[in-house]
Amino acid sequence: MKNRKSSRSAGSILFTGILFFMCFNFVLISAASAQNYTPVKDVAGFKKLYAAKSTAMNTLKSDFVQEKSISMLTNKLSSNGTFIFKKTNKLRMEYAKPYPYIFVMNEDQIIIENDQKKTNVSVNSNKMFKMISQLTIDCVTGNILNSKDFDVKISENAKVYFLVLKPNQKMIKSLFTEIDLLVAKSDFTVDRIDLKETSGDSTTLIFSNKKINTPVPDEVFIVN
Amino acid sequence: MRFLLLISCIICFYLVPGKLGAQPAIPALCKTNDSLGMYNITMEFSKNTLTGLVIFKKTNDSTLRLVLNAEMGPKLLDMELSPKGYKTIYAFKKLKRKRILKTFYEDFGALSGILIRNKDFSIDSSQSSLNFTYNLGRQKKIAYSSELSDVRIVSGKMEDGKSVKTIFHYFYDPATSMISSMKLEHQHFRMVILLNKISL
Repeated sequence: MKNRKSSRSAGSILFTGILFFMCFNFVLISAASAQNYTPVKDVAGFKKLYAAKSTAMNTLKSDFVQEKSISMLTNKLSSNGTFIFKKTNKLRMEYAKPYPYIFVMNEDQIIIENDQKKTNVSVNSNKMFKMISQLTIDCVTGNILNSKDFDVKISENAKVYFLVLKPNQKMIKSLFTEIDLLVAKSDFTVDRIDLKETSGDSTTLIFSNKKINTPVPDEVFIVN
Repeated sequence: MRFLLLISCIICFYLVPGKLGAQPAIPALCKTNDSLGMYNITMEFSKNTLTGLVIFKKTNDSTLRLVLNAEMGPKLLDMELSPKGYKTIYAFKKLKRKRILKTFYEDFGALSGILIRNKDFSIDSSQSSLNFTYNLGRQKKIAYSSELSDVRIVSGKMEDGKSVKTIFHYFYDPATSMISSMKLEHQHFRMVILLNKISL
């Protein structure tokens, strides 16, 4: 009986030890990853530089990968395509995989085309589409820093700026808890956008092969 | 042939004991191996349009989980559907209304066949068509029908008393005999749901 008790207590000590070790490691890993970024000291200077680079950017073409984490699914849903932005408010996201889908925002019109049909939507009739596409544009152009809809924390490492945006606008807040941006120091373009949802799911957009100010005809934003 | 096609499409919910010994097959939304089905969705409601992704996952024999995502990101709806009712796991604030959630439950429940699970039914067959009518109680009925002349389409309708609430269609890919798309239309207000299967 005593032996059983002592083996039980030894087991619980061992279990506690393992748990403590795991927690300790987790704290260490978290601390280490947080240490990669240090707060930007000259926030005003950063904003000024970012704004200048944004002003100079008239078009942006890029490839993108979208990864969606859904709590119900064990694997992430991944899609990819091309991203085209043209000042001031033109956006085309053309998904190639896993299925073709085109999303175009042309000023106050949204056009959606999939293999089922093409749909024209006025931004006034779908505020959520407008909000999400505008949010994407603002993230890419850096305008988000001027937005009153977010509280922004900026940190950096050798290669990127790390922006954590906490929404305080009602509609954005109802969908997202936080939006994280990685901005390349080399050209002030966005490398990655993490949209963390109130539902616990998240969507990540990773940009690559970025081309700034290459000619983009207006026809790109008209879906035939 | 028509019946064989229906049978071939059973995946999620099939051949459960019914009044006549076996419940007829209803169109299936999920794959056999992982019980997962993904559809591109276009939903038109009044003057609003929503496009996105719908994922159906069979969690057990009589429960189906449904997740609706807007195309460019956020999850809008996450609910469990069963013949007894629904459980909302997550709903975007603007969808979190009993009437809206109930409409989604009935629409996706009818399309997925979850509403008719273990329900009494009657069969009406003729030389040109085959009809299954399920009694859901409280004067509600769902009828699935197929024309023998066109094996690519199965139709359905949900009735409340003498009034038809929704009409829906399943379109089959002739090559695979699997559902390739679905369309549901409300009859009392403007709401159309189009689902198109995604093969990942």
